[in-house]
Amino acid sequence: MIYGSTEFNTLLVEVIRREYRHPHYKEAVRLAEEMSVHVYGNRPDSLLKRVRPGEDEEIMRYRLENFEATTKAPCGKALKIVSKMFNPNLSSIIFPKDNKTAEALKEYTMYYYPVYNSLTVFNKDVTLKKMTADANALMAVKPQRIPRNDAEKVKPIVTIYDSKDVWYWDLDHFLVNTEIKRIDSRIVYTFEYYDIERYAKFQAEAPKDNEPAIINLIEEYPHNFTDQHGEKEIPAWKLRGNSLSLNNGDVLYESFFADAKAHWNLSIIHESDVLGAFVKHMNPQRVVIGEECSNSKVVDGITLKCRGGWLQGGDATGKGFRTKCDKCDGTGRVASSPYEDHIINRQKLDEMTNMSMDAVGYVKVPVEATKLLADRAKEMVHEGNAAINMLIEDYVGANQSGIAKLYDRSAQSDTIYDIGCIMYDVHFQNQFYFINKYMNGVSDSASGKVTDQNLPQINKPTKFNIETTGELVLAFKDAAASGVDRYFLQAKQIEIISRDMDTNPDLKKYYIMLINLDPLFGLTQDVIDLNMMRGLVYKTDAVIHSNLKPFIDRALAENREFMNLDKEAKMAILKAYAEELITAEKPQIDMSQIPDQNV
Amino acid sequence: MTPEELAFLIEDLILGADKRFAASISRVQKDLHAQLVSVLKDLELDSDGYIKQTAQNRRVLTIADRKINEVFGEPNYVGAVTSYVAVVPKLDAANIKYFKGIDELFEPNKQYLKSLQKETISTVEKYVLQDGLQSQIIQPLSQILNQNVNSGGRFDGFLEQIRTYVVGNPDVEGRALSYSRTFLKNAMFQYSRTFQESITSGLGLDWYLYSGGLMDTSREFCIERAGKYYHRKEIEAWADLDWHGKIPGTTASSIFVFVAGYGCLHSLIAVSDFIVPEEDKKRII
Repeated sequence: MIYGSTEFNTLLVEVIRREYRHPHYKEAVRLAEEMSVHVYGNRPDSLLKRVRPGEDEEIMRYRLENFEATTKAPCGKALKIVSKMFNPNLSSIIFPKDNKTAEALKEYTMYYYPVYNSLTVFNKDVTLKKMTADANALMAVKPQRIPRNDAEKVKPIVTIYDSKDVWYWDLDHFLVNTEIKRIDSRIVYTFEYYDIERYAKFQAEAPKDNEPAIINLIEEYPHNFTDQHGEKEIPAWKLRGNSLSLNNGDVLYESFFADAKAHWNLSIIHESDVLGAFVKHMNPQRVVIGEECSNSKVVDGITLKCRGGWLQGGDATGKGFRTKCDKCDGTGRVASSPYEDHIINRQKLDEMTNMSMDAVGYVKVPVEATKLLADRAKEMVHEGNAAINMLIEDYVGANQSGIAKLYDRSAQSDTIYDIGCIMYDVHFQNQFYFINKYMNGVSDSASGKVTDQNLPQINKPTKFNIETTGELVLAFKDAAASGVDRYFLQAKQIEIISRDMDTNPDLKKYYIMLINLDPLFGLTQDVIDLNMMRGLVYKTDAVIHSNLKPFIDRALAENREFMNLDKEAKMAILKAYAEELITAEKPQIDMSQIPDQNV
Repeated sequence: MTPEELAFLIEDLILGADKRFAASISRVQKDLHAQLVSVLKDLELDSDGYIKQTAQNRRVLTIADRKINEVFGEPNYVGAVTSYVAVVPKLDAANIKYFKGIDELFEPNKQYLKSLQKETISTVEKYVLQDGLQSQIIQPLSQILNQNVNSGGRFDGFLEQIRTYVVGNPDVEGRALSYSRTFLKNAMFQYSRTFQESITSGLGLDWYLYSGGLMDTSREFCIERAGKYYHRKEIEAWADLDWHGKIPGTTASSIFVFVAGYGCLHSLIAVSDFIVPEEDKKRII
């Protein structure tokens, strides 16, 4: 259904008048609402209302009003772990060289992207969170504003629409509601629309079934995006997550964190229950022996008095009046208390033999269950994070078993890899692809250039930087003790330095060079001595190994470009220093000890 | 000064230095042996007294190796060598005195002498203190340590081997002493001869006295020639002969330096024609 067609108009009317939506709209919205509680900390009204069904309304209101998003933090922590996929040391986006258009694309997307400066930052701050909360949301690339003239270049931006706003879509278009505005008696709907030929923003209303719905085309940007096979493309796609195959063959997406949802929901429920229980403790329920109600009031000049919960009286004619007492609520007994009193009938109490009670007391609420519930609320947070393999961070330091951590890390890495595949293979690829089409499609086409040649090579991360330096050092220690190849250890040490000194590139480069230039890395002095005895290592290598830092410091002092030399040249300089030291250290005859020499 | 007096003076100077050197090096060898035994006592042995092939033993090996290098780098050893080399100026003085006796106008070429001294000292350093020390003394000792520890030799046999190598026995000198003193003695005699030969050609001297005493170990070559005068041409012709102890590379010119070869303490002292007996001169006519 293409914009402007009769069919489209009919669809618009249906969408506005009868809330006609795409087939999976409700489910998509439900999934998004449920996850948004944890991702954004939205208040889970429906979830909390179904808890404690017989609860006093006051307490329920108290619980709802005082809801705090306790699962937002663990979810955020999991997101932080996942966001390590954006570490520039683990992935790369390499633009073609000697291509000015590619250079311009790089500058726009990596340095001057609106608001976020780079697409990477946008995806880290916005996309990752959104796809976790609302996997069926729609990502689209559109012009930031429609160029006013030919000289103005289009600035494409990436936009994400909530699944609740994606009212309808099929294979050739997406219809997104962005605003509902009441103007006098009219309701005006604003839509953004994407199909294979255009992006459009328009206003519509549908007071009657057969009337045209579109009332104002706000902006429109026609395009002709085609893939390498000539198929037309829409610059919009779903955020995606875990795929849910439906019976009819359709696919719906649920969050990558969906497995944690049940546990996090339970945590919220339990936390809310705990809050309710605390209220009971903080505002104890009083037990009082009720006194007879003495309420009286004058109605139409007749004095009515409470008798057994009923206001009763009569006029001069003998006509009687009877109405429920508004003070004792028909009980005939009253007690004064700011909050939830339980009134005991004195007469009934008196009738019971061997029973006595104070005039006023408090209900003793058992606390064990509350404690258990509080513990369980915490436990559910951990269970939730464990379900998505994001628990390990909580236990680092508590558990020093390297093997256990390595095992857990692999599961965590798998999860991050799955999310990374979507982020890099779908979102980054599509974003660069369509931004390039918007920016350069027309000009490249006119000059006969293939637009896709401007696109960068995107190397997604396959290994994730999730161990702390401390863990890496422990792992290094284990590896060293296991007797693995010393060159492997050398690479691992470089990895640790790269990680630990990320914020100090000069120092990082220096220490990596230090390790790279050590010809006998990983050998103990004993082994070096033994190997020298056997003639297995050069003396110069042993000297370089023992004097590595002073030699390199000297080389840097003598030659500022030392760091930029290739390894062979660096080693030649170090070897010269070593030879110098060996010569200087050789035993020599002290000429001053030879008298009367004629030299 | 007569040629005989010069020959005996030179021999006396060098052998005196050699004797003092031997005493010093004997102490160094004993010290090295004591230190090695102290380290090697930590070697792990099996119940039969064989050295175990363990990482701990290899560590002991490296400590022992360090000790060896330390001992030969210490002032005791280096000082003994330096003292030996201190005989050089005395040799110079003796030779100059002798040649001034032949020609009172004689003045040594100081530049040449300086370079000759430098070269000799540099050679001594190389062979007795540095590379030669490593290859001739330290490395063979390291190999003995290595072989025994790595092949699990008997500990008592191992200690005996070390003792023999380091300190020596009634039949054999310790390795450091035997190598160093032989080299130094040869070096000093060769230095003196080289100096003499450089002066000889300048003074136009063609006759030489095969000077120096005889010992039980003297070669037949030396016994035949000692105390006799020979013309340059005769001596040059000897280079074509073969005899026990001849240094390879002995040529018509180098024979004046090497003389009879390894360990030869004799000198070919250039002499004035006036003192050469007539019957010797007749051989040449």
